[in-house]
Amino acid sequence: MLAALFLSVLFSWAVGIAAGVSKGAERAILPLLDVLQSVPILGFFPIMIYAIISILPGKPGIELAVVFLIFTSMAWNMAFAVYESIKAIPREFLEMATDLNMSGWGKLRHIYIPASWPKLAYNALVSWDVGLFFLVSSEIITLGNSNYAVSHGIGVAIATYAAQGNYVAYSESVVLLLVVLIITRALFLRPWALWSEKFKPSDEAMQMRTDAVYRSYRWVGEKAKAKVFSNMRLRGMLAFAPHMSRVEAKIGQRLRARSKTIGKTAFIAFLLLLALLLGKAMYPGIKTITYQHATAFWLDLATMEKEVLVALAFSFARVWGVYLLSLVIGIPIAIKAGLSQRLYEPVSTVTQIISSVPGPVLLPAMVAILLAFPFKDELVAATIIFLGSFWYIFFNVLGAARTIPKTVIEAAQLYQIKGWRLWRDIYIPSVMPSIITGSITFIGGAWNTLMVAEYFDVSSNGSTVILTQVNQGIGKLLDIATYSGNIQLMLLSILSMSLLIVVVNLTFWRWAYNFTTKRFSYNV
Amino acid sequence: MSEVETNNQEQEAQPPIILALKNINLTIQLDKRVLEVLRDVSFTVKEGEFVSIIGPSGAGKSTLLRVIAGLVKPTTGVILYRSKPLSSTTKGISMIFQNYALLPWKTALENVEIALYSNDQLSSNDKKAKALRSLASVGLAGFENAYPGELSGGMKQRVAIARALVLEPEILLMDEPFSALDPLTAEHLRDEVYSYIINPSSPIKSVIMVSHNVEEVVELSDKVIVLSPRPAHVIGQVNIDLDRPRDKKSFEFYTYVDQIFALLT
Ligand SMILES: Nc1ncnc2c1ncn2[C@@H]1O[C@H](COP(=O)(O)OP(=O)(O)OP(=O)(O)O)[C@@H](O)[C@H]1O
Ligand SMILES: [Mg+2]
Repeated sequence: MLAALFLSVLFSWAVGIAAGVSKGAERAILPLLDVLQSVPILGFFPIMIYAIISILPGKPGIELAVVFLIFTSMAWNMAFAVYESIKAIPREFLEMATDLNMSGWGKLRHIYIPASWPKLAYNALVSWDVGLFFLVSSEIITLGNSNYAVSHGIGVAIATYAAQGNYVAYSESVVLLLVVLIITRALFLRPWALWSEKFKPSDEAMQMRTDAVYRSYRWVGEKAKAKVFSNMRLRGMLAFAPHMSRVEAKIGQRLRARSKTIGKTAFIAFLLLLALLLGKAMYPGIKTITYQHATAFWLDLATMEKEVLVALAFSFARVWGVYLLSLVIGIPIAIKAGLSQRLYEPVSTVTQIISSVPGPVLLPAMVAILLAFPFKDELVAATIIFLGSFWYIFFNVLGAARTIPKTVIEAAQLYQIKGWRLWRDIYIPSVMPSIITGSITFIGGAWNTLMVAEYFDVSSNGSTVILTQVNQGIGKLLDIATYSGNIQLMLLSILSMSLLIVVVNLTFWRWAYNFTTKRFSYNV
Repeated sequence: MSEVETNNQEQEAQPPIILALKNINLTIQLDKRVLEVLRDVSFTVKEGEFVSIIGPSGAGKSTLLRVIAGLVKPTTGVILYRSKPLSSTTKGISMIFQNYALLPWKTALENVEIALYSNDQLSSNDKKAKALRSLASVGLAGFENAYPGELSGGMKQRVAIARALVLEPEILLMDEPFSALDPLTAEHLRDEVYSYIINPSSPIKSVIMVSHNVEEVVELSDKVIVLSPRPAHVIGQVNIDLDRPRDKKSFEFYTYVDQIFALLT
């Protein structure tokens, strides 16, 4: 885990600084990061394992796959963090450096790296949570199939104890994990985040009293928007075109066109790479497909796609159901807590700790508790999705509620606006952009959690116990396809899922984002 | 409106006192320390009077205005509004906030209407009609359906004024109403605001304005309250006895400006 974090930091410096300093690198790297960020990583995980193992069989392959997975869950965000920091360095600093004849290495040491600390550190706080979630999930996913099992790890231990019915040991390890979490947070990540504040330009430091965590959640949320609407920024630029000279407008246009093609190329390259790995993995299988088999192959594929689409519909309903529930629960609590001097500190501290517990480790306990309820499986799945994604909405709205202009609140007080009217006309619209930001991140995260939420089994001593499974769902389908080694099904599921996510992003969320930023932002 | 005579500035008989601050103290409990913001602030506002509060940045001017609006309770001291102690916000006192406090997702008309939300006596048609009239009175007829983002700074300020006027308050509080505008717009709006607010058909009897700008204060006020740095207390009161409209190049005008500057430094 730490290794992955360390790797991510190194990676993000390398990539982030390169993109921040060189225009050419920027144009190549940014769209690539965009694409990498928006694929549901956990969904690709089974394929990744499959591919890596086919190249590097045995335990090292699996361990490598897990490290790689965690790395992928953290690195892109952090690279963006570095990139943005580099871009935000005041011009005078760089001019001063040139003036002082600073070497490339000196610039790196004295300017670029210090400048990247604040955002990087804040981002690491969130990335750490996300990484933990992926760590535990990936360990658990691989457990299902003894061929792929990771041998050690907290996720493994917890799941195994649960499977053995050893609830004492299970609780102990959950508590242990919790303690480790709080300690790493208190001793390592938070001081890092606070320490890094001294690298902030001073006028920004004025606003630093606000809390690190919700801001980093917000920040990740902002990234989510940025990645979904990557060329919107350029469009915004073009909106200024009348003010710019015509030449500049043309450059803007060309830039946009170029970044689009590069984005597309990057995406195709990514798919090709994936196909290559898969091809290598499936090569023996492909060889046996002869001409006669081909028709059967396509028919097979069609039936499978039907199955996939049904599963996808179920999962879609599940994700959106929990999403709506999270809105209903999260928005009022976050607004109340954000507006109250008294509640804010305790609520944010407690929620930060709860939010850092990776949902999957609680799964066995949840199964035990929810056993008596009707629709137990749906409840468990919903809870896992909720625990994994709720925080994006919560912390985003919490942060936004803190920044509602004081005068607006006072105006409402002066005009004696109360009750439902106050919420409908003042509070909720005030945090609307953050609700959308949080929602985009929520949905993205939720699709990832499906992998554990919809189907969960553990094996110990050679026997496999299915702890929970829903009736239908894309996560379950993917899991089962993974365990049974059905690559076609795996590929079909993940591609259909990605397609659905991309389509919804480009239609609904793009519209929602455009609308809310245009109408609900206080600083127009 | 029946108060035509009492509204008149040049009335000989002493107009009645509409608002009296008596020994207002305010301390704020922060995390670890106690912050004294207002210390023993007393002054009166008469009917028809335009009072300005001036003082250094961070002195506590906005806070004082909030206390008068009933948004913040003083630690000790009373405010008498028409001889009765004031304990919460009241319909008779309205406020124009620093930076307007307009809601970006509501049109100019809706932004004015929110001031009337809590009024149960009016039908929604009446509220709309009132809001429209108020907008028209500040010269914004035709901009009802514009969103704040589509309006210039000066126009936003007018919407904020219309919103304060629609409540038909007796006392209008303004927190640096012109400081966010460019000098030209501010100049223009200052002239207009005075005529919107202090005229026979306006319900407003008195105005309390917070400002940084000495010349602006001399141009508009009948009385200037000068505050010390925090904790704010009254270090001087200047009555400005000049005919309106005031000639900003006159010798008398500058005598007042100098007098206030002397108090501030
Ligand atoms: N609720 C509060 N919590 C903490 N500090 C407060 C609070 N209210 C006022 N203060 C402090 O009281 C002082 C006075 O604030 P206020 O906004 O009234 O000053 P001001 O004179 O209006 O300043 P400016 O000219 O900058 O608008 C400031 O130092 C401010 O930090
Ligand atoms: Mg102020």
